[in-house]
Amino acid sequence: MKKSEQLFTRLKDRVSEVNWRKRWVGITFSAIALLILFAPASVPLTPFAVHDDDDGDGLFNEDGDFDGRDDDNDGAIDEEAGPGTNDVIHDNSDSGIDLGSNEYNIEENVTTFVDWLQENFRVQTQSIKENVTLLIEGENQPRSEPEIIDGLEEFLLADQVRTFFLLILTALYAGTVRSKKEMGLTSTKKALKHPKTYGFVVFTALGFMLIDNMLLWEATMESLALVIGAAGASIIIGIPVGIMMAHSRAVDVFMRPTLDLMQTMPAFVYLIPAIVLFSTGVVSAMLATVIFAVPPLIRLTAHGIKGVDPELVEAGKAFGAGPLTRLMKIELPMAKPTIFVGINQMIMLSLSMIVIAALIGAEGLGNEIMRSINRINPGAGFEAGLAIVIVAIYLDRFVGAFGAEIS
Amino acid sequence: MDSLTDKPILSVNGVGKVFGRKRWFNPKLRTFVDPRTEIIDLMNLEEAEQTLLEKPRKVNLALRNVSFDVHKGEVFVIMGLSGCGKSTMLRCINRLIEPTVGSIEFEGKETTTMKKSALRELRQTKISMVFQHFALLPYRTVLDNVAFGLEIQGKPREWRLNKAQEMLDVVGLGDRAGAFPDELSGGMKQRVGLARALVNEPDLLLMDEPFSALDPLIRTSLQDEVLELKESLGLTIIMVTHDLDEALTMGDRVAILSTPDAPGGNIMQIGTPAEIVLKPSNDYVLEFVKDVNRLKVLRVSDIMRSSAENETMSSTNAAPLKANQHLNKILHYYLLDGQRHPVEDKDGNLIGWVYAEDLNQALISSAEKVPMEKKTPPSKDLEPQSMGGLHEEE
Repeated sequence: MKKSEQLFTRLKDRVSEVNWRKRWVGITFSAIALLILFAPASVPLTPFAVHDDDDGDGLFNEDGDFDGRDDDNDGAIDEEAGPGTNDVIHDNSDSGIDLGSNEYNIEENVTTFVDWLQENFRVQTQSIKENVTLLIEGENQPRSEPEIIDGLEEFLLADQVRTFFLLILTALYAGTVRSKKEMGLTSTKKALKHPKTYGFVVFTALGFMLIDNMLLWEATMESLALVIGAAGASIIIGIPVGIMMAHSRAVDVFMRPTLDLMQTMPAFVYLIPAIVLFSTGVVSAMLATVIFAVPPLIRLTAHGIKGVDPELVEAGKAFGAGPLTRLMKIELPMAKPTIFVGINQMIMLSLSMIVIAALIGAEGLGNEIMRSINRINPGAGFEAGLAIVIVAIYLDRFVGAFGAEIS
Repeated sequence: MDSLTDKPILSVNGVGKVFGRKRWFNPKLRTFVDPRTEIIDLMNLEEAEQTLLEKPRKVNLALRNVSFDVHKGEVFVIMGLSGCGKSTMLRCINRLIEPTVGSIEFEGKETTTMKKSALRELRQTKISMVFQHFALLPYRTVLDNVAFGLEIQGKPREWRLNKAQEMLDVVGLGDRAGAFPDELSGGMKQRVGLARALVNEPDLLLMDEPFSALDPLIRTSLQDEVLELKESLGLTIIMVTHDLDEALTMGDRVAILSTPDAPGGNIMQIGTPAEIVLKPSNDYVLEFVKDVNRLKVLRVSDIMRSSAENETMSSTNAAPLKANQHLNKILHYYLLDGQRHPVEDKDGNLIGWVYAEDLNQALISSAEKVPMEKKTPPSKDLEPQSMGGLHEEE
């Protein structure tokens, strides 16, 4: 056989090896991502630019954009796009593919994409924003008002004594659960008699008294509400995605780089489109927090489920359990400790996002920190930081109690 | 064996399993083929060596041409070294692993083409499984673990817990129902695994090296217990093991497996323990059985001479033997007196005689170890009938 023939056969072999049906999700998403990032902006091939003729002058602007802005910074657009020009004009030097200039312009493409999103999904983003705002802020609260009080915040702030006792009670409950598991106690009564139950309760009481003493109660409650909201959203998104990632290779292949991107891309970068789409406020802050905090939860959920002893899964199958039964009765309970580590990490990360969230208009401890930075007041900054630490430890111990392993 | 005449409860026919991809471009044929069936076909034609076929196809041949029948009430042992595909074969039966080719018929129904729902029902009610490392759920109590199979079947909680408790009593762990698996010893855990499998009232019990993770003393006692349970519940058991002693003491019939590149497929020999020991069909089996203590494997019935019609138990004073006793249990009679002993059945009727010279034969062939080597047998007359086959091969 000739060498070229051999090469051809080998290539065919390689192609036949790929299980295309399993990979289509990954391939589709990668293709879209590549298109967004690398399609030359000035060629109006980008799917996001084709239909945009919103300024109504009956033509495409040459940079594939619709707003007539000069995104190229080459000063060539606005003259060409004037009214009365009826067709796409190609006489400009930077139209068409020209590898010499900044044709493969990621900046422009991303901006175009976000603009396209904003333009075409204005109704949707608006309604998402309104619904989310409605969900957490309650009705009849004009969003523009500086004091945003969402539902949870309102509840937490309404009665300080009630909230304080609620915190103590949750701490007591978590303490009981933990000491039951760790001491191997069977009844709640025995656990209530055990001194180890009360460590966490005492910490919670002292910690939140200290917060009140530092005059940070209100800010803390606002932050707590934001974190609880973000954590809820993260759990709703993160655990199912983690499960899918553990079960499907395609989702795994797609999610892995996506998670890397979500974790390493500086938070400010995706704050920009968040602000474009949802304007400043709690929604943007929550979006940014969730994007930043959910990756460890997804990763650890997937890791936990992948790590379940295959013999146990096999036992489930051998006794005739379907996939859902196996998930609910074997995989999730077995992966529970790992998933709880993920939830814990997720909460810690969302707390660390509080300061950044403050930049885009979320109230709370982050705001206190921003203020003390502006005033160069180290004491106030430390106080707010301490409050964050107390909230963090409270949430960690609370969540950790349910994930603790029976010893 | 009487059961051999019955219709088999499970019949495995020409099963083969190849792990790996489904499509491959065959450069010789210039088309896409299924490399898994192709490799089995080529191996059957003896065209090439296994590794030469596997390597370009990037597949892994595990089973080839495996056929056997299992009859009701039988303990069928699949025995082989690690990597010979014995666990794969076991999992093909309840389709935890899909066989690539071949047919598996269980109670007259083909399982390889079963739909998912039918298969699930089969696993829930007909075929149960016991695992090497017990596969108990650590977050559940022993009782809940045993009730797991019934829970999947959607039985009411009260009922299934009662049933599980009953089964726990049967395996002797009734008082540990509230314990967690981590609190139990290995032997106890496997009892729980056994109870979990039996509570579904299966027709067929698959056991994947059930005793290999246990220490020797517990192993023997649990083996005996499993055999007793099998008798009382009327079970059929297919057991996988790599321990020849275990295979020969527990199995009514034993299948010895080798790697799939052996001529004719994985199966080297299928037979009763006595057949395996006395008439190994080839060198591979011989190599296995040469160190076996025959006194522990052979039973009275294997060396028994049938009695004349007019003889009865009253015609002798010698202590009676039972047909299913192992030879090591009767040895002391012959060391004392050396006379012939009668064999009685359950009702105390005479069914045969065991002579000292027959026992001698068993001992001699045991001491010889390797009859294949060219040694003159002690006496041509005393040459046991069973060894004839071997010398002919030589």
